Amino acid sequence: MSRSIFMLVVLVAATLAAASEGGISAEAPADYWHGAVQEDIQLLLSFALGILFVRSAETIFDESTEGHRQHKKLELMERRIEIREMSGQQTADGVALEKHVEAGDGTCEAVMSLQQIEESLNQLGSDGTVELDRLKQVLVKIGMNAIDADTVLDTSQSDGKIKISEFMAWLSAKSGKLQCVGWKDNIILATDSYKFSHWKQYPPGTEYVYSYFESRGCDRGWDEVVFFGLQYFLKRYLLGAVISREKIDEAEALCSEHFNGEGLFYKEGFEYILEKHGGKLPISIKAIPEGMVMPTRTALFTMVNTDPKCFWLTNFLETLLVQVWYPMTVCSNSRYQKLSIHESLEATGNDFWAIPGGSVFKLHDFGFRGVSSVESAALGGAAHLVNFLGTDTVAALLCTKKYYHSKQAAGNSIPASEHSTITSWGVEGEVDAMKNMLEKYPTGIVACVSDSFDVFKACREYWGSSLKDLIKGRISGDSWGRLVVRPDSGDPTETCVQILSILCEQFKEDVTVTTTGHKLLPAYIRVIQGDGVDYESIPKILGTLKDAGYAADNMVFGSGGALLQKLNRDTFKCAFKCSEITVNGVARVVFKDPITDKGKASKKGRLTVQRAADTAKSSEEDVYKPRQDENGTPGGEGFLHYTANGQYVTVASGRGDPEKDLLVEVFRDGVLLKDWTLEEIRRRADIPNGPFSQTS
Amino acid sequence: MLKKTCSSVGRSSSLRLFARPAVAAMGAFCAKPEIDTIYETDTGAAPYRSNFQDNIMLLSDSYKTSHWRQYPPGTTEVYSYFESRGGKYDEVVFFGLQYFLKRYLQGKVVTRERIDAAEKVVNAHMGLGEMKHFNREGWEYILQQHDGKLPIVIKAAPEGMVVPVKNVLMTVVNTDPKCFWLTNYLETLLVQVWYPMTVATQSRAQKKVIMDSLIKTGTDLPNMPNKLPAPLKMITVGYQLNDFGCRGVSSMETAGIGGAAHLVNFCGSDTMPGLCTAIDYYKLPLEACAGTSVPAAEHSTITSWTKAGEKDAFENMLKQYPEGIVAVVSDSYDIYNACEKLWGTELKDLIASRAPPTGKLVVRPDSGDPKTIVVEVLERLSKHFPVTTNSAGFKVLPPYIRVIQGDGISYESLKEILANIEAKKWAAENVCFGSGGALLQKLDRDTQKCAFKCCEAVVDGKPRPVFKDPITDQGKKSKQGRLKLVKRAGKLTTLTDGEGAESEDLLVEVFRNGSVTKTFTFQEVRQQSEVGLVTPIFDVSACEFCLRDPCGDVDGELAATTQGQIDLGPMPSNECREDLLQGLRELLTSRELCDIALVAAGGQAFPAHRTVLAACSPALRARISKLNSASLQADGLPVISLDVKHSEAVKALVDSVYGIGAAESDRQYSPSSEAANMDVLKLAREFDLPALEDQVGLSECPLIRRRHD
Repeated sequence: MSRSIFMLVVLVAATLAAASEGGISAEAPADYWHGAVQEDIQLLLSFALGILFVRSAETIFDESTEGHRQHKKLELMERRIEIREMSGQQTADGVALEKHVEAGDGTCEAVMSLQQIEESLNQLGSDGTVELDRLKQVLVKIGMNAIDADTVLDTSQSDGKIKISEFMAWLSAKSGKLQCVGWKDNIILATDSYKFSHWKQYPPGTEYVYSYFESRGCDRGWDEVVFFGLQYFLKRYLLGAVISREKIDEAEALCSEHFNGEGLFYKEGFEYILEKHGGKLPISIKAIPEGMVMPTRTALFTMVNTDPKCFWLTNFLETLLVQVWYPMTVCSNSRYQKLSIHESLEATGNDFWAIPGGSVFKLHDFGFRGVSSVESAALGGAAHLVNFLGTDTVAALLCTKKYYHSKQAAGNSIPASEHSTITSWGVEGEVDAMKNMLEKYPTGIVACVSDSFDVFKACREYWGSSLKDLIKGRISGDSWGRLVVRPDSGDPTETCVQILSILCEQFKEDVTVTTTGHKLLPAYIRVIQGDGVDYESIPKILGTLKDAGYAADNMVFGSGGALLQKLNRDTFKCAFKCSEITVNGVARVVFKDPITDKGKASKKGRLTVQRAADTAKSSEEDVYKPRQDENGTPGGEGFLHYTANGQYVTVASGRGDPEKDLLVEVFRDGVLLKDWTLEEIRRRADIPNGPFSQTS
Repeated sequence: MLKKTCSSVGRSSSLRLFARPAVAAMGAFCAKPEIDTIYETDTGAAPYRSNFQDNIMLLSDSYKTSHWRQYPPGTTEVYSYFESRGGKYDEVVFFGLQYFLKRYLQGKVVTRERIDAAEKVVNAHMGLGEMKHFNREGWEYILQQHDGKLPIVIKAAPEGMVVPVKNVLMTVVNTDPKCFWLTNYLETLLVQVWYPMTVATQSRAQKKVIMDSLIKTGTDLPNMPNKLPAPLKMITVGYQLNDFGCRGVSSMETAGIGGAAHLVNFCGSDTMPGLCTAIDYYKLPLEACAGTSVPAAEHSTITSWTKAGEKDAFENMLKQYPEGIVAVVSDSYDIYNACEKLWGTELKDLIASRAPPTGKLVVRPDSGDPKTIVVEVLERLSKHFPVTTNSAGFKVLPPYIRVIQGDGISYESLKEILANIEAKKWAAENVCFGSGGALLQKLDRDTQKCAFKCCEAVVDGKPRPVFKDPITDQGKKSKQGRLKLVKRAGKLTTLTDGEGAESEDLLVEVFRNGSVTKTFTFQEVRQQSEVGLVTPIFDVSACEFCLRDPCGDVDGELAATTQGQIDLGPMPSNECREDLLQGLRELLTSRELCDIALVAAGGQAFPAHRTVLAACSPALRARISKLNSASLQADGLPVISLDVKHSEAVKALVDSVYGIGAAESDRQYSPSSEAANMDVLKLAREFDLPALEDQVGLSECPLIRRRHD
């Protein structure tokens, strides 16, 4: 990959050199695009856009003399690049790139830098721009459709020309990217190994495999989940032509080693998708609308193949799609904390509920460093943003923007110190470091970690005495700001109580009392607890504070590991199970019901999820009853799986009413059919009287 | 990917472009719900597949963007370190940093376009709009002065090294005084090393438990041969704990990192992304057996035959995979019935007919109490299959049937299960394990209490030790001054305050100013991580027999293996071995004792010696180990076909391995064409032969030379 990007740079150089040497300029004749230069540019763009790989480039320039010349050129370049890479001389930008263009009986050697590319581009165009239409023509010619070409070239925003400087910025960014994760984009490899062997294992004549995903309960006693995150996986991994020749070859090579050369890889199956479906996955996925709060033990999404030859594909995708457990679990866990904070705010007399009041900034995401990867941070952070507006996980902002149409910043943060920026002033300099914080950020909210040495001394002697006036001055006239004091060690409950008592004493002249009689610090100072915060400690801390006479609004929480990492697939017992299979045109129900674990029984047949009110119940017989003992009916009896609260029912065995189905088709044959926005998801997932339901 | 190109083009409007392709595409898809229209307008492109993770300025906690204003005036250097402050395990396997370096930090990572993008995000996100928090000036400086590469030095423990907790594992410092703020800006990303490190640490602890139990129940691991083509130690231990974690982790990137970390200790893995990460980031040759898997059933492939058809489903498994190992989940309805009636009676003969050593059915229970279910399944199977007792007095099932427990496996339950197996007089070798969530997900930064702390700052030209020491938690006290990891009295320990000599520092510089300065191969990582184990399993040696009898059937020859082995040492540059090399060259020239031939596609065969090739290149060694009596032959020698067109490239490889070009100037490498040269390069890279690569780099293409003339 890095090599092809590099080739791209060289090819740009070669192309432009060819163009400029040939004396082609802005005044070039109209049929210029049909000449040799066009071929160069086609080649260039094919690389640039990743449409054609080396293989297809070879086919373009097959046997013809011109083709041979081009091919030769490619080889030369490739060699040069590789040598550069090996010898470590390779640099991204601003350094000369060597170009080889075979000429006559020998080889000429030329050197071209990005700067020279830019110059050549300037010769091709005028006023620092190149005409978009010309580039677009070429794009369409090499197989891109017009809509895509428009998007790539972003025609809507320009006056028919593309700025060379912008192109160069993109080019230099591309050439700077030296490392790439190949597998990430290969859907064939985003799976468990054993899945590769499954196509041989279904009954002969299998045509459709229908599976579903559910939460089988919760080990924390919660009975609801927020369904969230599937859209990320669909957009990131499944949309469009995701199977290509290269990916098949790559996967085949890997599998032959991985399975000790037993030839298990189902090449024909993937080739069929490539040829018959243009590389798009013939799958239909229906899902609960994202953000909807559902009781556990209901189907959350279902999947089935749309081409009978691809029956094996449904469960091949299980590994990837089951990862939805993660954003869903983060989101649900975060929502339960929102409920508990909201409750404490109500109980201690909070009277400001619209954004930014209420719970919406009360739980801040500190989890970036504590998760297992950047991708997890992005996904988990986005799930937290469904419920709250405070985050320090920047990757989440990009994720919600890219995958959920959020606005500029889906969450907010404030300047804050860390230990290093305080301790680097020395033990004696701690107070100077704190003063520096207040002075460098004279307005607005600023948070300062205060436990580097002695958090109680810091609260009493620094914040509460020597720096007191600076803090009070943050709210005066037009300016509004606040200091947020952060303890970061010790028992969270005890530390918070002690700090609040110190601060309420030091700032007592401005402390107010809420309607419920709880003390509230002046608006210019608050406390953030960011250590040891989770779904259990928040109610504990707030409960203790309430009993000690302090309002919940004094506090903000930050949570890292517990919010984004200390969760697993068992938290909500997420599972993906096959429930129906069609063999030789006949549908049969499929289920498992191990005698060794009743909780693992799965639902049967095609499923719909309906409101109980919408669902006819002809008799009690229809209500699902699990297998009673070893001799009971395997898979249980009845087809109406009511939720614990009785509001919803998963209707099994294909007995449901599609009209009333809450599951919405979101994906079909490579195309996204439903695109939820963060805004609507937030509204759906909001708690009663929550921040996103308030109309302000 | 496609649209990323677009979103990256606009300098002035790059942020708007982030979202725009999505809107454009979705507008086309969603505004018109009729299916047919959707098909028509479907572009086939993948508008979202661009990577949003590539902007280093945004791979940090928000508050870090404000820190540049907070250090003392006159700060020129910030020096920080990473450690495990204790935790569940007393020693950690340091692993995974190389992934982060290569994936996120290497090369030109700061560009004008990314600065623009980051600025917009940060300034919209931070504060109440009262001031701009993004350090544009600082990033511009890096772009201009350092060509967008990070002026940082990172030193770290060698990857795979086993280090007791509370020792320094990595240090980071800026190399440009103006970029003092950069060191800790990278903390967020670098601290994520906690994850692969913790996975590898826990997986290694489980390996210890398994090895102990194997030895205790009669598997003589220390004295087991470990030679190609049947490295018994590796096979016996390497597949005892298989990675089932791909679906249970929080993202595919996590699966990649965590899966690779497990492979440090074991061979068995179902997590394909983990394998890919090891290949991509740790130069693992595809041929080397890093992680392998076997065909296996899942519930859907069994239950889809319906309850009445469970036996047919089982039979289909045995017949579809007539040889090799095959695992079948057997608890869909009634595991006991499956063990006794189906496997133990109706399919018994079919199982037994899948002959050892490779034919093996692995029965998988997947529910019930893990501690008891394994023994229960063993007991039920033993009613129907002939059980033997090994020398230590433990029962062993016949080699064609085994049990795998893949449900509820963690470090703790593994110990309990094995204890129960031992108590019931079963040998540990009857069972292997699969672990998912516990292996890759039920871990967190607190498992090994990982932290990254600043320990020295240079202010006004004077270094000052920096530390925190909260009265509220003494365990959070940090180290101070410059740190070194050294060995004292045989134990790893950390020196603080700049003590000790540079030469004894075990921390290796792995990154400097945008370049990865040291790359560890996966094999190196594995060998490091085996230090301190009862016996290494990845230390596979070549088979002596292969040298003696080139045409022998290497598959079944294991019993004939003797202890002897020939170590040719690093080749071919080692001068003290020159006499040996000379001898080998003569043997090659006279074609004596040659036992293998290398061939380009349809071209000439070049005879050579297996041991010589194997000693020079692990990848060649792997290829050689796979030869058997059915392999192609040329001139009576088994053949390794090389995927190149030009025979002269093969010759160049052989010459390079035997040091011919270096010794005889008239046979200097001189390619006849660029294509041939490309082939040489390909071989050099495929088989990791740096000497050969150097030749390519040094050579002048005759075509080019002609022009200069």
